[in-house]
Amino acid sequence: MRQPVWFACGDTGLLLDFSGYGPSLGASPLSAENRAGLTRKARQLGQMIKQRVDTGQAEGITDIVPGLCSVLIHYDPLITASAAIKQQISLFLDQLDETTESPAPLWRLPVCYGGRFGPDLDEVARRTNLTPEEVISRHTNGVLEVAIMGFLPGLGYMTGVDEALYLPRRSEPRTFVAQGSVGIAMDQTVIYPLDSPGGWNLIGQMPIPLFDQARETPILFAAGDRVRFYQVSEDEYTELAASCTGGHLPISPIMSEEAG
Amino acid sequence: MACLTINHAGPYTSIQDQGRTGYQALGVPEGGAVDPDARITANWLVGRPAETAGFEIFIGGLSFHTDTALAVALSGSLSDTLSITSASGQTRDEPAGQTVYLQAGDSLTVPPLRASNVAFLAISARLDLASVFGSVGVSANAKIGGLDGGMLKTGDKLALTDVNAAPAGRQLSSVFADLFAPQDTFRVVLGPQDFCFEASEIDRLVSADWQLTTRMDRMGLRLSGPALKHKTSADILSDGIVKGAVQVPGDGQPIILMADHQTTGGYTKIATVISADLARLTRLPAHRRVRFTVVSQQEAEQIAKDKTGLIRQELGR
Repeated sequence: MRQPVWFACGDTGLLLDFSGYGPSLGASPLSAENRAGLTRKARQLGQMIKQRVDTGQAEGITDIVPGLCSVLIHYDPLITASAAIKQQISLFLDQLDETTESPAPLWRLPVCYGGRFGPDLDEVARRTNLTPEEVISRHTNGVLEVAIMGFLPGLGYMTGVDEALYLPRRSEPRTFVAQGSVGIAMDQTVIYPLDSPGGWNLIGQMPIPLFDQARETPILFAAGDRVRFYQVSEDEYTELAASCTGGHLPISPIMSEEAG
Repeated sequence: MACLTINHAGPYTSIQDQGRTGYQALGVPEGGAVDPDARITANWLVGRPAETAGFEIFIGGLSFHTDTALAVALSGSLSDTLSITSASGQTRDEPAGQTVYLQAGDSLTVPPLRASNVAFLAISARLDLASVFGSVGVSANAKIGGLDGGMLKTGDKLALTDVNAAPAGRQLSSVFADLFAPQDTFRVVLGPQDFCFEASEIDRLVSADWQLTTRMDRMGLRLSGPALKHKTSADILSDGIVKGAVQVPGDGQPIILMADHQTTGGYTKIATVISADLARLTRLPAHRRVRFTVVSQQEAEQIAKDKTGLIRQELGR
């Protein structure tokens, strides 16, 4: 059993790493399955700390950021101290259980694949020895998990992509990737929340903004949420995109239990 | 409504305040003025709360016209001067570090900074802008804050509310001359991934002279010096990032992450510049040489308290 390890991040952060990284550097790497389990565990701890912060029991903790197999606790050194935080959190570390997690929303997200929406679809098909239709069916088949957020507001790194689609990132990143673009690389998928540079293999576009300042909840999903894609036509794409104006959100998530 | 019109803005001049707290789990950068000491003291000089939004002048200058009387103050770059031209064409200079009064019709110019890489200009009014995640500050990569999510541009018009035309005149004490004086040694706490480097590389981090390069912006400052070698790889499982993190990518040249850093990342971070020293580092121009010295996390926490205590005592806040 790997013990979580604390690492200092200056005087404003404490990283709790569940991967056993430091002591086991150079030892056998974690399997994808172990990694997913430890990421859930770290996230669960983050949720427990957040609950304490929200109920006023953890003054001075300013933000909690889940990572892969880790959680970063941002704190204000004028209000609390690393020693106090470590002591508080160590008390409920053993209550963690990586198999259970509070119910996570499942988002069914529409994607228009190929053509001008997914300029790399044909190349992805060629490099994976699949037809474009097979790439689409494998991409829409599984339930993905938002492992961590980062890079831009609302961007989630979704893990659990079908192994047949594993490819490295493009050797030449693009200087411009349009908002809504759906990219794949390694075992992950991302959707770009904003126009941005990017190096992922672009296979389609998702019409619902991940980040819309006009919406009551500007950011669509969070780490731990689940995602399943479904294919839409160009007409359906256009219609869905149009229905998002003025901060309207045309979809809602299914809670895990209902999803079966 | 009272209004400022931007006559000219350097390429990296932007509206900033205290930034966004509590949204990094959603990928929203912390943001905020890269020099909080300058923001706090400038706002004090114009009688505004420390969190009030103003102008962060990064490298280049700023010039605007005001159609209302108000007070301004420049901090963070205390030996620079402000130039004011009245509606009738008369020009006068005023020093940084004190309250400066403008009349309706005046144009204020902050020339490109000489004494610092960055400064903060506060105004005795509130900028009437929509708050995004609790801040009107600009994070350009996330396209949020300010007028349109970007840096200030010539012709931008900024509406003002809560204008106080004549707050009490104030001046920063000599304590601040010391606080804002350029220094070349910066304290770091080792970690979170110092274990990815042999002891010899940690020694190199603290014994070498590092040079600030021209590749600096609100996301990060890139240093140049002897390449720091990783034990195995520059890649880690992506984790959360704090301001001041000293990230070491594959080429071994450190990048110090600033206010608009990505919220998570997959490169090793050998150390973290302590919060009390980060603003001082931001003020240094490109090509300056810097050194690092190591303190413990507990020492860094005490230094942060002592420094804030000193500032609060001087400002009577």
